[in-house]
Amino acid sequence: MDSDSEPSNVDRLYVDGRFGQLHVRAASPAEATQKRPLLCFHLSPLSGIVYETWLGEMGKDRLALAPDTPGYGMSDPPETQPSIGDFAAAMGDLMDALELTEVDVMGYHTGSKICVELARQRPTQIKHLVLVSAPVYTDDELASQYAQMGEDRPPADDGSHLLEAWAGHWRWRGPEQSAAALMRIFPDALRGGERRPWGHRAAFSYQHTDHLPEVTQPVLVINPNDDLTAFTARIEPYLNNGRVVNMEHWGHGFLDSHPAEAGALIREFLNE
Amino acid sequence: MQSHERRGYITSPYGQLHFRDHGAPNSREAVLLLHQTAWSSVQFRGVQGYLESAGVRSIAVDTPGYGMSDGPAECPTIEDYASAIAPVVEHLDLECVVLAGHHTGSSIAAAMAPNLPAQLGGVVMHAPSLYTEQERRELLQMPHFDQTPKPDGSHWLKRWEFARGATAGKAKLTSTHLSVSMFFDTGPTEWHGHHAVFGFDLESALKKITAPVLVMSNTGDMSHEKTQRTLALRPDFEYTELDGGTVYIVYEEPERWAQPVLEFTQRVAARG
Repeated sequence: MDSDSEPSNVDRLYVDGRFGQLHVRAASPAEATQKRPLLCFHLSPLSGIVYETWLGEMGKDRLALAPDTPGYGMSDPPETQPSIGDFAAAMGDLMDALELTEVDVMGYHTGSKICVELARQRPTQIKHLVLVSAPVYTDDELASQYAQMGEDRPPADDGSHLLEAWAGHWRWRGPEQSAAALMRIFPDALRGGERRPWGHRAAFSYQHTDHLPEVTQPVLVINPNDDLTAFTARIEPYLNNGRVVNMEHWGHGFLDSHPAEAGALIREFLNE
Repeated sequence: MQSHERRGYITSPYGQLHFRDHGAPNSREAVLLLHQTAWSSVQFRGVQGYLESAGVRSIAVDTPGYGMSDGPAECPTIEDYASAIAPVVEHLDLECVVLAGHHTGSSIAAAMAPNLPAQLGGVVMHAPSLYTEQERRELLQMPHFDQTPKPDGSHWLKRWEFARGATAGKAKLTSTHLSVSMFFDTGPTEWHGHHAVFGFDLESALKKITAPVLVMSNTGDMSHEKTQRTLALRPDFEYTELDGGTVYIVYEEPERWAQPVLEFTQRVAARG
């Protein structure tokens, strides 16, 4: 473990997008840099809080941004169930608002699909894609995932909804993800009410197998040891211009526990 | 109720201070809303929508250390909170402000009042915490809730049961869920706000207020009886009592709570 410290030097801001305000965490070096900005998209149903430590790492030599996906964290929600295309378009709004002409993107679970779709929507502006997990499902597996995560679980009088949600996160916490680190992000997974499953529903309606082969930009798939490991192991045939690195010693929270190691791996790819 | 919320940050002594702004952005008259511990400005979402529909601008601030506002590492005083929040008035170029606080927010409002001699139009305090010296000493000795995360999630259940018990099961499940999730989202410093209240000389602050004041309470609030102490100290203050309700009345019954605040604000404005 190279760090378990609290994040630092990360500011928060709002920009306007098609669904209202987008809430964004940002870090950048004190002096201007020629390196492309890095946009980081989170997993469902969390927020950009999962990238706070990571932004501190990547913000050392470039502008690093982690928006809250519309409807999550502090970003305004769409009025109806969005698609991955809607989420990606909102991230395009962010690029326009900040006048970012070329960027690299990184996405975690649901965020990996936003990356792929944004690369399709803005093929000349997205230069590299880093995908933390890129699952390939059978129809039965997809139905199972949807049943587990695509439905809202309203508050119960006995508090069992909290225990269930906690158990799901605790079961899949990373090998070096401390309980305190999990507690720092977990409350964000409880927000959103009836809209909470929208991110998962959008993700389960968008298949990497349909869209990733169209992506010609360089792609790095990181396959850590988490709940999508087995599904991500099937992605290689669908990569047009990419590779998979298996990181068995990483799990959820690796961006908090291994920021420098992850930074070295990803910087090497982004500099190719 | 349709409303248009603009959220933003300003720089505070502790990092960034987060606020929600509703109503005409060019209005220089506004109600500044201050929440209870350990909530955030989300407590006033419905209230702000109601005030906006009545043509009144309102700004709800996340107290430092709560919601999205950065907080100090050490427990601040109520005066520290007031000093950190007051710059919002200048930042938004407001020329007439009604401070409206709920529980901890009432103490902050009382401490802020002398800081805004030119802009202060009036003060609303719901359940101001006027304790005796002995009560304050005893409250400061009370142990903090143990937030240590447990693998089985029992820390969540313990807090859930505490919150349900505190309202005798009368609070809505959604507001209890919000209360519990914000409690843990705030983290191990969740007690700062209460300790600041216990350490604050509210009596002296109340005696100094020269602006119009509306005291509010609801009979279902655990602090209802103590509210009468403020009225005994300052019989010249206006008073509105709401029947029933819970400690979450601002969030659960926004229109009922906002109506007397609106009428008071209109009276203040009419006085010029």
